Amino acid sequence: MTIAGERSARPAEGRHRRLWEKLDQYGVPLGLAVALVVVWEFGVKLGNIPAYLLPPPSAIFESLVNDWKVIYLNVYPTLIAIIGGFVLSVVIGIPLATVIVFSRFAERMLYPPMIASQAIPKVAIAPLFVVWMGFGVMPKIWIAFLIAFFPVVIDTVVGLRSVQPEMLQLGRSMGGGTLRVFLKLRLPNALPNIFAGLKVAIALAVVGAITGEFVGSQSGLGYLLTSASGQMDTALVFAVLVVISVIATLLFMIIEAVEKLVIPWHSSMRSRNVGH
Amino acid sequence: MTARIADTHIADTQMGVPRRMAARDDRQAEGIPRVQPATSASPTHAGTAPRVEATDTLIRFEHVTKFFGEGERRVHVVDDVSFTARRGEFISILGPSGCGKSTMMMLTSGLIPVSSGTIEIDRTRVTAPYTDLGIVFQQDLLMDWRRVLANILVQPEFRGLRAKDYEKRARELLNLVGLSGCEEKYPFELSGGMRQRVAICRALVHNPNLLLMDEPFGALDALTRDQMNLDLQRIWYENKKTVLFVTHSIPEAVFLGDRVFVMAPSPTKIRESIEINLPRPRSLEVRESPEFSAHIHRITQLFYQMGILRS
Repeated sequence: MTIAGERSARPAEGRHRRLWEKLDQYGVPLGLAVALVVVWEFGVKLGNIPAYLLPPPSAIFESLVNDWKVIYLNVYPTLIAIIGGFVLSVVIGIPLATVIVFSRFAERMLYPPMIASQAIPKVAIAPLFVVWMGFGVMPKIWIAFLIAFFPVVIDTVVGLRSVQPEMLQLGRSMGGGTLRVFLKLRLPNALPNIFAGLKVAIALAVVGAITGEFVGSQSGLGYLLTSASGQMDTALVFAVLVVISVIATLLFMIIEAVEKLVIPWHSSMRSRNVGH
Repeated sequence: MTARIADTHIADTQMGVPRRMAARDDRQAEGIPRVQPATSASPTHAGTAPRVEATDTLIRFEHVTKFFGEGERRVHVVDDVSFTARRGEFISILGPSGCGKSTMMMLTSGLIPVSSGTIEIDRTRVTAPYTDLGIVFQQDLLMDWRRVLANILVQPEFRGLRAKDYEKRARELLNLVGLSGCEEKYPFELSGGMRQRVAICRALVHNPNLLLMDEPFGALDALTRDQMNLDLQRIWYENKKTVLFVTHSIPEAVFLGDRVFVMAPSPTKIRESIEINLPRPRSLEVRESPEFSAHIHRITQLFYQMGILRS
C-alpha cells in the first residue's frame, strides 16, 4: 500500500518540478513585465504626465487596437526591407569572410572600407541611397544590409580561423584538397560563430530597415514612426515600437530555431538541456 | 602520386584483410606461445630472440634533418635520423615533451618536407603528403558535428571514396574497440577514452599500412591509459599495421613497442634503439617482470646521462 502510494507519488512530484521549472522559465520574466506595466500605468496617472510626453500602457494598447490596420499595412514593406537586408548580408558576408580568411591581401584591402562603412552614421547616407535608388524598397534593403553584414563577416572570419591546425593536418593526411577541407572541416567548424553573427545581424537589420524608412519613404513602420511623432501621436509611436520589438523578437527566435536544428551538437545548444 | 596511392589503397582494402589474417595465423601456427619467459639475457641486444616478422622494410629514414625558419632564427629540430621499420613492427619513439618527436611524425606523413636526407615508405620517396596511413593525435580531433559512425567515415569521404563501402568495416572496428551501440552518438556524449577509440577507428577504417600515433593517450587518466594500451596492442595484433608511436611515458613505450627509440632532445636524434623481446600478447602484469624493469632501468639511466632526468 505504502509502496504503491510512493510509486504513484513520484510522477506527480516530477510533474510538480516541471511546473516549477516552467514557472521559473516563463513566470519570472512575465511577472517583471506585468509589474513594469502596472508601475508605468499608475505612475503616469498619479504624476499627471501628459499623454504626448509619455502615454500610459492602456493608451498604447488602445492605439494598437484602433490603428491596427494602418500598422498592419506598414509591417509588410518593413519586413521586406529587414529580410532583404539580412539575406544580402548572409549572401555577401559569408563569401567575403571566406576570401578574407584565405588571402592576407584581401584582408588588408577589405577591412578598412568595411570598418569605415560601420563608422559612417547610416542616417547620414540614407538620403544618398534614395538619390541613387529612388523611393522604393531598394535603399532600405541596402541600408539594412550595410549595418547587418558587419557582424556576419567578423564572426564568420573568427569561426573559419578557429579550426585547430592539427585538424587541418588530419584533413590533408586523409588526402583532402583545399575545397574539401573547407567544406567538410572549416565551414561546419565555423557554424556556431556564424550563427552568433546571424543573430546580431537580424537585430541590426531591423534597425537598418527602420533607419532607411526615416528618410524619403511613404510606407513602412519607420515612416509611420516619423509621421506619428510629427502629429504628436505619442501613443501610436509607442504602439509601433511595440510592433517593431515583437517582429525583431520573432525573427530572432526563427534564427535560434534554425540554429538548434543545424548545430544540435554545439555546447551552446546543449547547455539548455542541463539536468536531462 | 596521389592517384597511385589511391589505386594501391583500393587494392589493399580488397585483399589486405585476408592477407593480414593469414599472416597472423602463421604466427600462431608456428607456435608462438601466448606467455613465454623472455630468453634474452640483456634487453639491449638486438635480434637475439626467435621472432616471426615480415622481413621487408616499410619505412626507411636516411640522414633526415629538419630545420624550421630561416637565417638567425633557424631552429634545428631533427638531426640526422636514420632507421628502418619493418612491416608490422611497433616502434615506440620515446622522449621528453617538445623535443621534435611530433615533427618526425609530420615528416613521415609528408605533411612537412625534410630539410635534407630522405624518407622512403614502401620504397617510394615521400615528397608530398603520403596518404596510405592513419594518424592519431593527442587530441582526438573528432568532428563535433558528426555522429560516431560518420566521424569514422570521414576518412573515405576525404579520399573521394564511397563511404558506404566502408560502413561495415567501421562497425567492425567499433565492435573491436568495444563501442558497438555508439554509432549514432555525438562525440560530446562520449568520455575521453571512448573518443580516442573512435579516433583510432577512423585511422584504421581505410586499412592503411602505417599508423602514426602522436602521444595518443597523453590526455587520458592513468587507468584509462592502461586499458587503451591493452586495446591498442590487441588492435595492432589483429590488424598487423606498422606503428610509429610517440610517447613520453617510459613504461608505455616498453609495454607496447617491439623496439623503443630513446630520443635525445633539441635537436632530436635517436640516442639508442632498444629491442623489446617481451612475449606477446603482453598483459599488464608483464610490467612487474624483471625483464620489463631492466628495460625501464636502462632507459631511465639514458635519460639521466642526457640530463633530462636529474637526481
